[in-house]
Amino acid sequence: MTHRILIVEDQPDICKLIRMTLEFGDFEIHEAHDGESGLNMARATMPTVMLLDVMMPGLLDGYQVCARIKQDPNLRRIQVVMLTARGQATDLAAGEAAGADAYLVKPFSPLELIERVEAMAAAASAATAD
Amino acid sequence: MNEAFRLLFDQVKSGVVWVERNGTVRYANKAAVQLTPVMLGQPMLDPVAARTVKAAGQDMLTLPFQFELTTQEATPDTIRAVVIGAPVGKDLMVVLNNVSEERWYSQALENLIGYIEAEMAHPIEALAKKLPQIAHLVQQPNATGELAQLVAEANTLSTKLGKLRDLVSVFGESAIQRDERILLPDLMRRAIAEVLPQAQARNITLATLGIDDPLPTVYGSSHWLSKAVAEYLEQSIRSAQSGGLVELSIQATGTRVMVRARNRGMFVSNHERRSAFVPFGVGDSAEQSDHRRGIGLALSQRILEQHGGSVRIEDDFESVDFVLEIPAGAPASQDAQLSVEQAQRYARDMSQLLARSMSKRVQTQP
Repeated sequence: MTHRILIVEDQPDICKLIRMTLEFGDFEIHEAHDGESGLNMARATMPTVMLLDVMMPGLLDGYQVCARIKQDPNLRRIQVVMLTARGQATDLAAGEAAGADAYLVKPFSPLELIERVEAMAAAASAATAD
Repeated sequence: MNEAFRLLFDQVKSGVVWVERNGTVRYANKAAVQLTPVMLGQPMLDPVAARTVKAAGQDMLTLPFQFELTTQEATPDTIRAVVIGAPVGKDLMVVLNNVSEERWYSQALENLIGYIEAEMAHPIEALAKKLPQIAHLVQQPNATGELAQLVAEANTLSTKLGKLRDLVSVFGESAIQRDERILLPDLMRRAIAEVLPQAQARNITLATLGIDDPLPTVYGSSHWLSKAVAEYLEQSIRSAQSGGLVELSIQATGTRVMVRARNRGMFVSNHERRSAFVPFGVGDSAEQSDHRRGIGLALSQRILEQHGGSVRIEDDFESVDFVLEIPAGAPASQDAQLSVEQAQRYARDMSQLLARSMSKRVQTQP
């Protein structure tokens, strides 16, 4: 089963690197470049996993997008991976408070990223099968 | 005058007025209209300008001829004007430049000297005179009242010196390089609490709107942005009439957050609007500290600029708005170095990613 992955990242080069990494797996990849369009695209595509940058320009940052997804009964099953340069304990706590499922600190290991995403996708498939 | 000239002069920063030899205005660009009153088809409305142009048109002056005007304001700016021949035909042109604006930096220095004299000379002198007493008083447990007064004076001086230090700091090259996540309602409440005693002292009501609404986060230096907002609010309160109302609203629009402090029944002249951003201005009366601008909006403006925002003063029909704008979310341009590090990481993992991919392909082949 091909899983949808949504990348929400404002920096084009990072977005491209994530896409290139995920193209080593079997994923349908979507992109958004700010919080608001990321949230709208999540509603439209219902991805299995959302890779979400924290610091983005615009009205919603990553934590706010994550919190809205986890508060919405229709979206909360989306697995959210916060992907950010902010790796301090307070940032991790903010991600946890927003309901993030995982947290990867930039510069991240692409290998770790794809393994994490594949594991989340497999868990989602298993949950659906149950 | 042809369209090409019109387009050219519309882009020019200096004021340009094109006049016939009899003094009748044929064209004035936007900058000129802001500097001196003109109406098409009439002589220039400033009498000095009208007389000078008329004399030039009668060949009584040698061109280029330089003279000075003043703006039509209570505290006028000085305008340097020069009459020259028009590029075509026999018409004349008057080119106008605001000398007061050009003198901004020298004015800021003069202001700094005035500021130190007006705001700091007395407290420093008073404190210095009392310093010997302090050593004596600290050993006298019953003299707490006098000590409290000394502490209050020291605090006043420390606050003023602190603002001066802040202004110097934010003009440094690497003053603000932070990416803290800032919740605006919290920041606004802290800043309001800071300036509330000043508002109460002048019986000014500070009404807030939108502060409890869901607002975007902003990124930057919490320390400096708090100072910027507090300084901005302080300026709004200083500008309000005693017993008046300052309506403070906060709103997210597009990719910006806009904070607006509205003073009703006010008017701000162009001179005041400009000088509000020139630091240290103490005005004509060094005695009325309530009306002094002190560090003014310069500190606030500098901090906001370093966060991609701005501070400005807007006039409405019957109100004056102090408007503070800041980008919502993170600044659009972030550190490119991160991408380089990330690319290096990707290159390191590439062989493993390829091996992994090949292995999966082998496994799936029949």
